[in-house]
Amino acid sequence: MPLLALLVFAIIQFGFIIAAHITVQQASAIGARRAGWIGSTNDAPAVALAALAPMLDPAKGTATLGTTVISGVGTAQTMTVTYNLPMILPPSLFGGILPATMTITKTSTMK
Amino acid sequence: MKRIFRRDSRSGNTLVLVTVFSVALFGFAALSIDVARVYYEVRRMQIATDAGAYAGVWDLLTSQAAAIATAKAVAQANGIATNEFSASALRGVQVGTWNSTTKTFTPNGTPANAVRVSAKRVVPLYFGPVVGARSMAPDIHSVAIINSRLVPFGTSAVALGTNGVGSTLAASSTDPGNWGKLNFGDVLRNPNDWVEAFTYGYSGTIGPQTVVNGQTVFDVATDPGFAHLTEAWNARKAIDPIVVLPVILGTFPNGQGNVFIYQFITARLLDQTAQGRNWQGNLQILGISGDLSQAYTRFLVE
Repeated sequence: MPLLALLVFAIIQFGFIIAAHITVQQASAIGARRAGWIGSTNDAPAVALAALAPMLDPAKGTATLGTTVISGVGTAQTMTVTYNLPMILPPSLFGGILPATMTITKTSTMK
Repeated sequence: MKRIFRRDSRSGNTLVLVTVFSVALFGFAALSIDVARVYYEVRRMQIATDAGAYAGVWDLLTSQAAAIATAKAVAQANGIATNEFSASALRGVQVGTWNSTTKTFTPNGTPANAVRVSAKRVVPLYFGPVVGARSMAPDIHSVAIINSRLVPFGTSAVALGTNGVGSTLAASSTDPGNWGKLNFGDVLRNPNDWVEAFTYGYSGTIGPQTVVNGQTVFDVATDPGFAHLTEAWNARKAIDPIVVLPVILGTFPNGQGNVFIYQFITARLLDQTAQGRNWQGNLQILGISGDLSQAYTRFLVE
């Protein structure tokens, strides 16, 4: 039974991690689009963080707008979103091997 | 005795059930992990192809080669590998025509108003090999189109005068020096090409740039005559009454010649109030700017 319970929680945790990866990736794309396509660089980080909700808590994320030079294309806007995802499985369960949070960082580039 | 015998006959049932359901649970867990990972990769690829198509289509204003190069570079900057373009059955980045009615993309079609970026990624499966599936290869594509409101018909600085936003101008064949057809991309060679460019907007390069009196202008050929304006005006108005008209320095020549475009009017096409030799069409000014980019909009359609 403990093994079964562990497996069920691991599946749930994996689902949360995958969902967080997709959400953070999408948030970075939305922020980069705001800056690169619409040209609104001032509020792009806020827009990116707002896109974390409702799946994730925007307060636990950071968004950084930057630029990159793509060879042959020119300057493009990049949005990097970092999110600290709390784990549902307690770190003590495996003797402290598992981290309490997982840091997810995603970057998107738009022009 | 009977009761004791019955109880003994059931012993081990739970073990069998737990074993069977555990195998099923492990199977579904494996499936969910593999499928979730594939979905994640699909999402990443979609973001990358969207970014590539959207960036590339804007460069159609420069050339098709530039559009393809930009689309590829931006998609790669978002994580698409070179071999993921070549692995695609749709052959990477294509320039073509988007038909808004049928919602279809035709590679290498004319007018070139769309860019399609497609990529295929082989995602290895962790648990799939148990059932003989080593990988999945989702094929993703995005199509972005550029829409132009620029028409190959312009007015003169003299006709514009002090008219501002909200004013109404009357384009007239009885006022030829102040209105004229423009030969963007040689559209005046064939009347059908000119009508098409007026109806759907012109998206190509409009002419070499030069400097006149310290001002950067477009050097474009013009031709006298107002033939086909009635049909082009009606067709354009039915699709989208908002157009962007070039404004030239001075006035149009009396015959073939070249003019210098120095700014652009965004205008709404109104009614035509006279036909034939005394043709007249009215338009309302919505904006005046030296920025040509106001004539174009781009968006993702797939």
